[in-house]
Amino acid sequence: MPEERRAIPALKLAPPAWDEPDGATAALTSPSDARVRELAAKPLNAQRRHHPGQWVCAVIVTGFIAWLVKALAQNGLIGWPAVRRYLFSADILHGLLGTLELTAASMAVAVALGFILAALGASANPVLAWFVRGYVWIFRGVPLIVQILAWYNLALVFPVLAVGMPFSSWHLQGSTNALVTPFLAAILALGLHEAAYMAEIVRAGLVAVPRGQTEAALSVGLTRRQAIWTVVLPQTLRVIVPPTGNQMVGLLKASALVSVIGGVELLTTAQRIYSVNFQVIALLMVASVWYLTVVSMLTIGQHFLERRLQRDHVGGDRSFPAAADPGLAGIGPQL
Amino acid sequence: MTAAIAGPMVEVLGVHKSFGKTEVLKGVDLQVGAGEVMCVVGPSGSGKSTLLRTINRLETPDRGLVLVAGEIIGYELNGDRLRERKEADIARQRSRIGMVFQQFNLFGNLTALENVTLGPLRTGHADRAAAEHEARRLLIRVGLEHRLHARPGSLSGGEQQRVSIARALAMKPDLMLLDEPTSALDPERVGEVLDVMRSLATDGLTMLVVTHELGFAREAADTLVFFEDGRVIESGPCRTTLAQPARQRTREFLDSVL
Repeated sequence: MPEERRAIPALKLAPPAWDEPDGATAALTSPSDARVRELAAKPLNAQRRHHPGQWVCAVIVTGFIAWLVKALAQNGLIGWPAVRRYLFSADILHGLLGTLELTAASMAVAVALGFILAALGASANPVLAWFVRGYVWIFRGVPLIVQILAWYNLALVFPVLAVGMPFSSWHLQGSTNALVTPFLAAILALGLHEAAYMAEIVRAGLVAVPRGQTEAALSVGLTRRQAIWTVVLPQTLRVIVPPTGNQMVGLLKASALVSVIGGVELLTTAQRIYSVNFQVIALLMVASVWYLTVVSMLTIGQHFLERRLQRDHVGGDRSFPAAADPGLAGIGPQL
Repeated sequence: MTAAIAGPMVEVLGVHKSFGKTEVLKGVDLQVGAGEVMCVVGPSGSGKSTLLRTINRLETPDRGLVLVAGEIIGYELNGDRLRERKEADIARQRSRIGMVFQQFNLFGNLTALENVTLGPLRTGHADRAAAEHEARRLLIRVGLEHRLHARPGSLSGGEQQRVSIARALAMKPDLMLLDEPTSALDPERVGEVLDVMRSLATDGLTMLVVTHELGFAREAADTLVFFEDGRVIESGPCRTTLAQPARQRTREFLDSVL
């Protein structure tokens, strides 16, 4: 304790350097000071520190990659000629087109349904809110592959599908097996599953826009619906777009699961070809190359879209707190 | 509308409001005459903001009624009974009442000019050319002719609040509600907003202002209301009440603020 007490006046006695007149700064420095001043006046030309550890790691990783490439390239069993032959073959391109159609159609279903579900979930009606919670619980909780198989086998529970006018004998009906093609089953399964995630993403976006935005819109005479469409929804996009892009990449890859019901898509096509010629790895390579190509294009598109949305919000916005970026961490991988 | 009414611009009649178990307004009666500027002062949490928000029905009173320009806000008479108005009708009533928020609440996705034109355009009060012409005039009036196309994020707090005043004025309201308009501002930005408010008061706009700026109250307000614990404790002509409050509690509060 006595030592500490002595320390306090000592601290008080040491004056901050910036309180001193010019002369005092010179007095504090050492004799080598002239050389330091000279160096300070010149362009900075210091000897760099070496980081030998970084070099060692880089060499090890590069060597490993080189070894892997060599092992794959020189491996006669992979069938590189087959990769070249099938990469742009009509069958594979047809399958790729199927994958793109499937992804686009189910994403459209998911986005539309996601917005509707989020709107219903935000409604004051507790029955609607519970309906949305139940939907998300089921379609997010049941594995996607199970949902695909279930839609494909819908005929087992509902052999005939019919629409009719109530209180009249008019109706249309058809066999479920004829109506629910593998393509439609795939869109239903992927779209409804994805919609559960989209509903959560849109909900997070709506929550991120402060209540004051709606109140200000109401105060100038807008109705609640106008306030949501013109003020709230445009501001949710910045929050909704990044996770939606991730979901779309996930959906593209998830569409490969449709191969269990044999729809027209990339992986199914590849499997059909290798079941005949046994070039299994070559055709999986072909499929992977195309998946990676499409994912890269989606990623680039998303990057530009995000940059544009960001630019519309130059300098940030005080009425839009940074903390409002929602906890999307809870929305996990979908498979 | 303004010309047609003989009575007060605002009448608050026995308004009660609770949030959960907390009763925030415990029976408020208030009258604001046409062209009158009324300042509401009182400790924070006393229900001043809630009172303002019941006037344009951002909050619905549990009991009691609010009348603006002779119309019951949120209800209409159906014989001897009240009937809730349609949403579009309530929106029309709100459009006659300008509101300025403590946190500005400018639309983050729109420029200053678009913030001001949104109301007139969406409610069909004006076509685009007329709305933009009027918005420019109002933004010039609040001294922001050089920031017409700035987004809220690049405006200072004082500038944002002046845009939000212009946004409220664009609807040509009968009445302006200002909820602590300078409380979220840096001290050196308070003056520019008070200047705009003073000029509105001089123009004869009916204003109901919740504020801690007693200087503004002394210069610009006609009446002062001291509000505490969900009730009006004292009200009277502004200068008299500030100089010689009748109630001990009002005196204590004014002493603590000054």
